[in-house]
Parts: sequence; C-alpha cells; structure tokens
Amino acid sequence: MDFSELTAMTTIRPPSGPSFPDKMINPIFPPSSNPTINGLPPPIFPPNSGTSSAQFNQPAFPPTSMNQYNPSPTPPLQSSNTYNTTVNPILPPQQQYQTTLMNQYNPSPTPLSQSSNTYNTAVNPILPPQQQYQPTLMNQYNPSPTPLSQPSNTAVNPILPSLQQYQPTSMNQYNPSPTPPLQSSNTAVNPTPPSQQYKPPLMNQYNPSPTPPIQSSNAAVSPTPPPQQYQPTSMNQYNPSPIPPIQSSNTYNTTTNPTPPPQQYQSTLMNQYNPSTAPSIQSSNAAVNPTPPPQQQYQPTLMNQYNPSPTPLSQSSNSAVSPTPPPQQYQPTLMNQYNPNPTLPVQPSNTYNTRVNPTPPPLPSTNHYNPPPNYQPTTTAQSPSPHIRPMYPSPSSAYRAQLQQPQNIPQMTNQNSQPPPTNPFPQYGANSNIPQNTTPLSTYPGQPPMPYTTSSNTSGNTNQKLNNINGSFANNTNNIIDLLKEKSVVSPFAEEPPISPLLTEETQQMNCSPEVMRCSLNVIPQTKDLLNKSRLPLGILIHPFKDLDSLNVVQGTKIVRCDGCKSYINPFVTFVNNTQWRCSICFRTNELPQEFLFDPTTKTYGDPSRRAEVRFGTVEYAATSDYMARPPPPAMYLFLLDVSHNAIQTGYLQSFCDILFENLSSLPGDARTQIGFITYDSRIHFYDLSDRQNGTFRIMVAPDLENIENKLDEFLPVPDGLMVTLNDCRAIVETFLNELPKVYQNNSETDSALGTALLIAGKLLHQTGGRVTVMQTRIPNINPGSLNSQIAKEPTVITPTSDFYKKLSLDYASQQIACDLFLLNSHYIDLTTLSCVSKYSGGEVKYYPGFHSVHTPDEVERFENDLRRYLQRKIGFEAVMRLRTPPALSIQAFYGNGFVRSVDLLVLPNINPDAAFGMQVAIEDSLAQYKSVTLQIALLYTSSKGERRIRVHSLSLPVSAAIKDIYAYADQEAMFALIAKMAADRSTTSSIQEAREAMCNVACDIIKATMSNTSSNRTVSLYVPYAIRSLPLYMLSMIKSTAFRAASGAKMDDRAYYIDLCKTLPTQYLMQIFYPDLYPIHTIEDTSQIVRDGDDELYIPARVQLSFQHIDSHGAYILDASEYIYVFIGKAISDHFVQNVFNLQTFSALPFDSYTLPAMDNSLSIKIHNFLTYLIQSRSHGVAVHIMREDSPNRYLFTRYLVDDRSESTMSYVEFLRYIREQIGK
Amino acid sequence: MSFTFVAFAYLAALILTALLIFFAIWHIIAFDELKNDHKNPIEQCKSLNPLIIPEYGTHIFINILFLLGGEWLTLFFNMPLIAYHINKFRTRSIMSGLGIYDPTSIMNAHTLNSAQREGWIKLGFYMITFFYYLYGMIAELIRD
Repeated sequence: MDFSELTAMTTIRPPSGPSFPDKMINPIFPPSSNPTINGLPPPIFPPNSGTSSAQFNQPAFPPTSMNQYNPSPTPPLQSSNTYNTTVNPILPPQQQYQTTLMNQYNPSPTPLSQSSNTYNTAVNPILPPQQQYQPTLMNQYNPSPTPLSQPSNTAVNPILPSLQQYQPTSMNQYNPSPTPPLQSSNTAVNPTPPSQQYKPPLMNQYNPSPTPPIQSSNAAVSPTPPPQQYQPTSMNQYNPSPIPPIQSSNTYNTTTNPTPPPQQYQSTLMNQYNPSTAPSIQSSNAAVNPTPPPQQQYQPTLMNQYNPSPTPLSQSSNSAVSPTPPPQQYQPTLMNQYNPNPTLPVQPSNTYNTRVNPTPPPLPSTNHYNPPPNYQPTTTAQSPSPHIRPMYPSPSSAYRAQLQQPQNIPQMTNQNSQPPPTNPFPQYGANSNIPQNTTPLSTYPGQPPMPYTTSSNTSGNTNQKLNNINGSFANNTNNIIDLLKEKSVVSPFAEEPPISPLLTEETQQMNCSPEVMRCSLNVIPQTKDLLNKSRLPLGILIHPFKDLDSLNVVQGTKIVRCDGCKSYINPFVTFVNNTQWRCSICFRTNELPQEFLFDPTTKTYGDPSRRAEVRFGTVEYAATSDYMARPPPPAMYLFLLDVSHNAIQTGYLQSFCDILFENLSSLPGDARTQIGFITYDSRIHFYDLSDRQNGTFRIMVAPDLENIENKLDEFLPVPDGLMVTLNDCRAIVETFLNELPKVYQNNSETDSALGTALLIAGKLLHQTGGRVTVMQTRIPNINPGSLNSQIAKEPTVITPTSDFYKKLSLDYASQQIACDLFLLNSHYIDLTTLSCVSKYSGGEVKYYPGFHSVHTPDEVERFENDLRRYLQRKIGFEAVMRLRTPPALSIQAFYGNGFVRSVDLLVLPNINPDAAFGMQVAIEDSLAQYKSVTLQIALLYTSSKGERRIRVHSLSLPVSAAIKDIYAYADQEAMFALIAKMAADRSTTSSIQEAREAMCNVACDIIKATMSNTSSNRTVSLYVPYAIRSLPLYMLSMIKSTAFRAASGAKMDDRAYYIDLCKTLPTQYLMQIFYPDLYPIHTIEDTSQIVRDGDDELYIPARVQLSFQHIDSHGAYILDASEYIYVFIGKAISDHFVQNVFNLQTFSALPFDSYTLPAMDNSLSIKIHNFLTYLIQSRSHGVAVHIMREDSPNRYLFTRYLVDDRSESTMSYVEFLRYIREQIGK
Repeated sequence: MSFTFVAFAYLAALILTALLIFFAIWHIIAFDELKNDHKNPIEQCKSLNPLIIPEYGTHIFINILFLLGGEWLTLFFNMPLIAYHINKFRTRSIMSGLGIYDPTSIMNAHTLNSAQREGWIKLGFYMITFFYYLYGMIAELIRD
C-alpha cells in the first residue's frame, strides 16, 4: 500500500466550519464544530442528552466496524467509563456534578491512585526532588485529602449500563462537562497562573514560585531541595528566553576559554545524588541571591588560573582581569546565537557544589590553583599521557576545567618548550614571516614537534612541500611503544582530542571542534596505496548539531559559496586579491562579493579575512528563501503512547505525563508550535484538545480497523483538534496530561496496534512534518506491523524480520517526519525491526530494558532524565546534511540515523543535538597536488523558531606521503568508533561472527603494518606507534561487548540496541560503552587529580584498566559505562568506608543492590558524591546508577565489563596480544 | 535442414536475450543516474525492482528451452548466471515486494559500485550469448 499516494487525496484541515469537503459528509467522527452538516447532533454528550447518543449511533461507523468495536458487553475502557459517568444524564445537577468531578480527581481508593502513590513513595528514596515535586503536584491536584470517592464510586456504578447506549458509536467521549468545572480543575492544577509559572524569563523560571518561603525552606536545612531547583537548568538553553544561558565567547580556545559551557541537568542530577550535605552553605547561598542566573554558574576566570600555558594569551588575561568575557572581539560582527548578556557579571561559581545552589558565593579572585603537595598523579609517571585533563570535558554541558598539566611529563611526550608564537592569530593562508626551518609553530603539548607550519598558500617564498616531510620524525622514535612490555595503555586521565597538525592551539578555531568533527587520521595519506599500506580506516565522525558553547551566526549578507563545488567559504580559502578567492576544496577561483569586504566590527571595508566566515571552523548562516523548499512549518510534536495493560503496569505513563507537564514550556518552538497525542492498545484513542470543548478534552476511540492502510484518509476522526497549538490550548493539554494516567489505570487490553498508530501519525503530520515520539512497552501484535514475538533461535545476523517499519520510515522521511522510539519493554520486543522506523527517519532509539516504576528505580531515573533532555533539547526540522570533500576523496558509506538520499547527502527529517554520524572515506586519486585537505559538513535545517539555518563545519588536515606521519597522527578513538560502525554494518549485512573476525583482523593488520615500518622487528616485542597503542585493547573490548560477543546468552534486543548505538552515538560515549572507565574510589583521597574551584574540590581518581588485577576486595569502584554507572563495593571493604559513605556499620549491613548513595557529612562521602555527580552531569543523557556489593547476584553486570581478563571463551588482553604476535609472525 | 525445436529454442533465446540486453542497459543507466545524484533512490528502486523477476525469469526460461532441447553446452554456459541470480534473490534483504534493491542501502558506495559493475558484466555476458545463440541457431538450421 503506497502511503504517499493517499496523502495527496485528502485534506486534513478543511478551511473551516461549513465548507467541508465531500468526504467529510459522512465522517467517522463528525467534527463537533459542525453539527448540522450531516444531520447529526454534536458529538459532545451534554449531560442530558440520552437520546442524542442513540441518534449518534447510526452514521458514525459502518456496521462492520461497529461489530468489531463492541464485541463484548463489557465496556472496553473502564476508566473512561468512570469519566463518562460524569456526563451521564443521570447525573445530578451542576453543583453536585462539580463535586463528583473533584472527587474523581482525588486520591480515591481506586487502584491507580493508590499505585501512583506507592509509586511515588517507592521512587522517593532515589529522587528526593521528585518527591518534593510530586506531592506539590498531587496536592494541587487533590484539593481534599479525604477520600470522598467511595460514595462517588457507588454512584458511578449504577450508571454504567447507560454507557452501553452510546458505546456502539465507537467513541468514548471523555467530556466531563462543557461547563467550567474543568476550569476550576485547571486552576487547581496550577496554583500559579501558567503565564507566570511557565513563561517568565529565565530568572523567574528558575525560581518560579511566587512564594518566597521556598527559599527559606531551602535555607532551613531541608534535605530535599525545593521543586524549583528541580527545574533543570538546561531548560534555559533551549528556551526561547530572552536571556541566554551562555556567555559566549570564542569556542575553540578550549584551553584559554574564559567561558565554560553551560551546565545542563545540573540541578536535576545533582539533587539526586547530593541532597544537601552542607545545609549551611545552601542557606547562605539562598540568602545571597535568591534569583541567580544559572548560566553564571561556572567561573571562567578560574580556569585561566589553571591554564598551564606558558603563553599568556591575550584573551585569557583579559578575562582574568575583567569578569565579563571579551565579546568585543567579534560580537558586533557575528551575532552570537545565544546573545550573551553583557550586563550580567560573570560570577564565580561553585562547580561541584552539588547542593545545587544556584548562587554560589562570589569567588575571591585570588584563588589560584595550588597543587597540593600530596597531589601525585599516580600512574602518569610510568604511562605517558599527553596533555592531561579531567575526564569527560567533552559534552558542552560538562564542566570543563582545565587541569594543570603535571610537571613530571614523561619524556616520551616530548613537551615542547618553544617560545610562544609571536603571532597570536596566524591566519591560515596569510603571509607568515616565520621561517620555515626554525621552531615549529604548532606546539601542541604531548605531541611531537609539528613539522607543519601555518605557512601561506599564497606567498611565493613559502613553497614548502608539506608532502615531503620524510624523516622529520627521525628524532621521535620514542613515540613507539612495546605493547608486550607496557601493559597499561589507558591513560589515567582522559586525553585531549587531537587537533589538526596544521593549526596551533591559537588557530584551532579555524577548524571546527574535534568533538563536532574529527577524522580518524589527522594526516591524510597522499595516495590510496599509502592508505592501504597503513591498514588504518579513514573516515570522519560528525556530531553536527552538538550543543555548542557559542556559535557565530552570520546574518543578512549574501552567503558566499564556491561556484564549482558549492562549498561555503571557510578559513582555509585563499584570497587572491580583494575581489577573488580560491576555494580550498576544488581550487576554483571565485568572485568575492563586495559586501564581504565589509567588516561589521570596525565598519570598514578592506580586509576580507576579518569576517567570521573565514575565521571560525564552525559558522551558522541564516539562510535566505533560496534554501527553502516551502515556508518553514511550525514545530509539530506528536506523542504516541502505549496504554495497553502491560504499559500501565510499568507505570511509565505517570512519569511521562508529569515530565511533559513540567516541560511544556521548554519544548522548543515558537507561538505556532503544535502538540498532539494518540494512545493505543488494540485500538487507537484520539484526543481532541482544541478549545471548542469548553476547556476539556475529548477522547475518541477507534477500533483497530482491518486494512487501515486503504482507509487512512477517512480514518482521522476530526480534521483538526488532534494537533493543537500549544499556546492556545495550553490549559487543555495540561488537563489532559493530568487526566491521562487515570483514564487508563484499569485498562485490560493487552494488545498493541503500534503499526496503525504510526500510520495515522504519518497521516496527521504529512503536510508539515514534525516529530513523532513513541512510547512502546511490548511487541506490536496487531496488523499492520505486527511482529512475531518468538525468536526461533539465536540468529547470526541482526536483520529485521519485516520491512513494514522500514517502509514506514522511508515514507516518514519523505514527509519530513522523524520518529523517536522509547522502548520500555520487559520482554522481547524485536528492537531490530522496530528501530527501523527511527533509523531512516533521523530519529533515535532509547531502550530501557525491564523498565518498571517500582522494581527498577535506576532505569526510571534514566528514563526520566532522558525524557527531560529529550523534551528540552534543541531540534532542527527538515534537515539535510552534506559532506563536501575534494574530488579525489569519495564517501564510501554513511553511518547514522538518516536516509542517504545521494552519494554525499543525508536526509534528516529531524536533527537533534545528541545524534552523531560517521562517514567512511576513500581516496580515489592521488592527493599529490594537495598540501592539505579541507572537509566541510553543511547542515541545513529549520530551527524550531521557523528559521532556516545552515551550520557549516570545516576541517582541514595536512596531506603526507610518509607513513610515519599517518601513524603518528592517527586518532585511535576515532578509528575505534569508525571500526565499531563498520562492524555494526557488517553484523547486519553478513553476520556477527564475521564482524568479530573483522575486528580481530583489523587489530592484526594494523599492528602488522606498523611493525613492518619499525626497524626493531624482534619477535618478542610488539612495537606500535604511541598514537594507536590502545587499539588492540579496544578491539578486544569490542569483541567482548554486548553487541558483538559470541556468547549466546545476550538478549537479542540488547545486542541490537548496542549495535545501533555504534552508529548513532558520539565518540566519547561510544568509547565508554565499549571500554568503560573504572575508578577506584576507596583511594579517592590519596590518588586523585584535584580540580579546585573556589572552596570546592573535585577529586578525580585515576582510572585503571578493566581487569581484576586492579580490583581489590578491600576497595570500592565506580564503573562508568555511559548509560549506566555501577558502584562496586568489595566485600573486604573497611568498616570505616562503609560507615562514612553508607551510614551503615559493616559491609554485611549493606543491601545487595541499591540505587542511591546516602549523603553523609564527612569528607570522604562528599568527595565521592561530588565525583559521581560530576560524572553524571558530564553527559547529556540520563544515567542509571546501580550500587552493588561484591556478592550481589547482579555482580555480573559489573564483572562483564572487565574485558582485560580472560573468560571462558575469550582471550585476555595479554593473550590477545600474543595472538596478534603469532599472527604477525606467520 | 529443418526447423527443429533446438532451432526454435535458439531463435527464442536470441530474441529474449535482446530483451535482456535492454534490461542490462537500463540497469546501468539507472545506477549511473543514482551515482550522479539525478534520481531519488526510493523512486529508482521502485522502478528497478519490478524488473528483477522478469529478467531472472526470462533468463531461466531460455535455459529451460535449452534443457528441453538437450543443449547441454549452452546450458552449462548459463548455469553460473542462474546460480548467481538465485543466490542473489535468496539473500536479498527482507522486503515485502519482489525486488532486490533496498533504497536504504543502495547508496552505499560499495553496493552502488558492485551493482554497476554487475550491470556491465551482465551486459557483456548477454552480448556474447546473443551472438552465440545466433551462431547456434544458424548452425542448427544448416545442420544436416
């Protein structure tokens, strides 16, 4: 059935009332606004219209569907029956009716209310803020605490038969009343008017409560912070609030960046893990500044003090002196998207103050980083680690502290002591006067001296052949490491992502951030043969829509592009003169528009190199109408909710409704933003949320029709009202969200008609595109789209069992609809097949195995945080992404969720900041004429505000003919991520077994290739370049991972999920999935890096390799696997530790598994809490924390990650190295 | 000289192979269009997939004629292609239609190149067999 043909046939939104198109003459669900067109009464059931329901039977549904719908005398929706009773003609007059309505909202002794209460209490120990928040909601919601509903229930029951009267109409209308009682319930829900609570500028939002006592309660040593703090700060970031969260400045001066990234999720997560261990600080904070701007939480100036750079950079010194960031540099020119508010003084912040005080005390500016005398990086002495920094500075949400590099740099890292470059901003392509043969310009600490200079392309005297740099590494033989001798290849602290050797740290901004785009080889091989000889994979990893600290938005001027290859002007182009520029990708000489010479900063004409487009690797253009295929549609959000019995049992619906309710204001969008809901079990439930219902919503139930694909155009119950403008119908949406969990609390339908719901969703959004969010808890089992819930045997190939979802996904993609899946299943759900619907429509899949609101509190926490992030994060619609490369390079394959429309073009109906992509690149022709290669990613999208934007990332890398350079500048993490993507692809096309073998071969081949290039080819050693030293370890960990391991015990869904993650996860998280970080925390006070920020110190333990060799039963460990954090308590742990951290006497008193750390007021507990909080905050997605004893039955969750050790069927790391050695020797 | 069944088989094969040559050229053009970004892969797959069964069927039909005619050598020449076709159809990705091209994976450079190469090889094969059938037909006709 061709879905797209149907879409042309119908009109979803007829103009208005009386002029309905023909097909609306006998609609299934006549619109209530047009009651007379077909002689029907309005489908609202007024309280006294017993006859109207009988009348309504007739034309509503064809008899067949009627039969289908009402096969049993029992009402299908019990809970909706209770609602229907309120509209029953037998109801008492209006006054009484109001009370019944209220009673129903009460926490009556009905099962669901009970369960929701228990749910709350069960969750409470873990989520203190939730606890606080929930009761307020509930209290507002339940005006009377006494359960009045017993009488009301008895009143309800006798009315039930009357309900049968209009059941055959196949509509359960939830229409409590057309009269204002719902109004009152609305106001009951929101004690504060929505306009105040939800649309204040940011400051108010942070403290939305009109009642100041909350602050005082906060000060009054309340262990749980007030709900206001529960509002995540990141809301601000995605908010159309006039005050930006970010004081933006130069993004890519990471080491000198005076402005740290915004803190996301800060309050949320911190509260959970550290509910005020120091109440006194909190109170003082509350007293200092009750409404602080959250974006000022991190002290930028402090970071400069950590800056170990010997070159006093002008920027850093500026910011050190003045608390305001130096926006003068380019601010007038480039409108910062986040529009930093220059009036806000940058306040120092207490970064690790997990007490979530939005106003940290002002930091004395004399606070310097004083390495404490006991600070000894434990393992750095033996393990060479370039440019140490704290873990996880990568996400923009994370606190990015700059650690001072330890003084005892291993000699291997070859710390460069060259004087700083005299030119603080050497323009690539400008005439640089620095002699070529003197000190290298690029002094990247931890790397060998860089032979490349930022030499000019134009100046004739700098004809240095970058290609011929053979032998330049002759003195750097010490960057080769013997893997068989040096066992510890994982640096104890995270490494800086590599930068292009073309650039210095100062000119890094000319390339986009390595977190946005990085190449597996930072020096491109000159020929295909060279690439094949090196055996390294070549590809780029892109995180194109990543939340950036600052973004240069170019507005209003002509977008300058190359006429030949259509690439955008970038920092690596050459200006022939003031009227011409030469493209860095295809070398075509183009005309330069006159307006490009205008420098908005100085308001002068002349030098084109001052423009932001040629200064920054990441630029965003405001696109003109040339870039639009149609006027930008509004942001459309449609939620598809599973309300089958199984779904209700998991209890997710309450969480979902609560979180969406909180975040309605944070949904990105403008005044046109529309929202809609469809729920489904074996039938489809529609909700008319338009305001023509006098402030309530209406439920319409359609049975799951057979052959729905043929009837879609007549299936939508009402032409509008299913998607409503959020601004106009806000109150109704809120009412709806409050009611929804109760409506289905007793639903006994167990089937799931997901396929039908998805088809209808596509139908609803086909004109505008948008986002479909699916919450699914079981395998869909009703056609279309039903899946077989039996797995015959352990399949060898991860391949879908049906192409229904893939075709649907392609239809979605052509209609600019993306589908995001939240899978909360406890049984097999066939994730492989289901995820197809997201895979080709640019959506994402989130997976919460075994989700249950009571039994798996850690998954609940992860789900809720993910959902918050999901609702608040930025979104781009109608996106396409194109990679432009020199003609000598070609793209072999795309990895990631999107539809490959052309050889270099990816169609992304939605783009979200958490989506990453990979592209495998091949060298077709020789690059001999290239000194450097420029790669450019352009992402064209419609912002949620309806603006068309182009985000351009450029990356320039040198070309070399020397294989040593290729190895020396290989990026092992990027290579690993690329190999993971290729392996994931392999496991879906051929088999998992083959994927494993391929990984093994990759490790062997690479090492073999490197060995042949090193002179010392002794049989007892395994010399590899330092830059790829961890590759064998990573390969081994991937072979043993959930995704690829041989053991048949792995659940199919888990395997499929992790294989999908390989393709969609940003590199840093992918690394953690496969090779998690293991930190000993019992020694946190002794062997840690210390990041000091104000009065607070963050202790970051040195990470160790994943081996039992490093696990001591006297110790406690944190294992960070990105989505899960396991805290492992050894059974011989000291009582002192248990007492201090867990507030229990001995180890035996500990529960086997727990999910929260108690907050204790001692230094050890605070340090561990701070560190854990820091880990949790450093990522944008939610984390499940699981604390287990060594003898816990779940200890395998932890031990399975110890991939360095051998298991029954797999090799240990040392064995693997020996195996490689043997393979090479053959 | 008589018009035997074998001669008829060769004659039929001759005509049908001309058809197959057109199919092969159509494939090559289609993939070239894909490569040069002229066509949407979804539409291109929609137009290519219905041709798969006719092509394979035609080729197998020709060989059935040869089988009936006892032309073992000719059959032997064609066996590899038949095996290739059957294997390719058997191992196609899961789809409800009868085609073998999946718009989600076809833009993969490897898939695209191999499909194009396959088109060229098939074109060459059909051309050779075309003349071979011509020869076979004439030889059969002038035998005796």
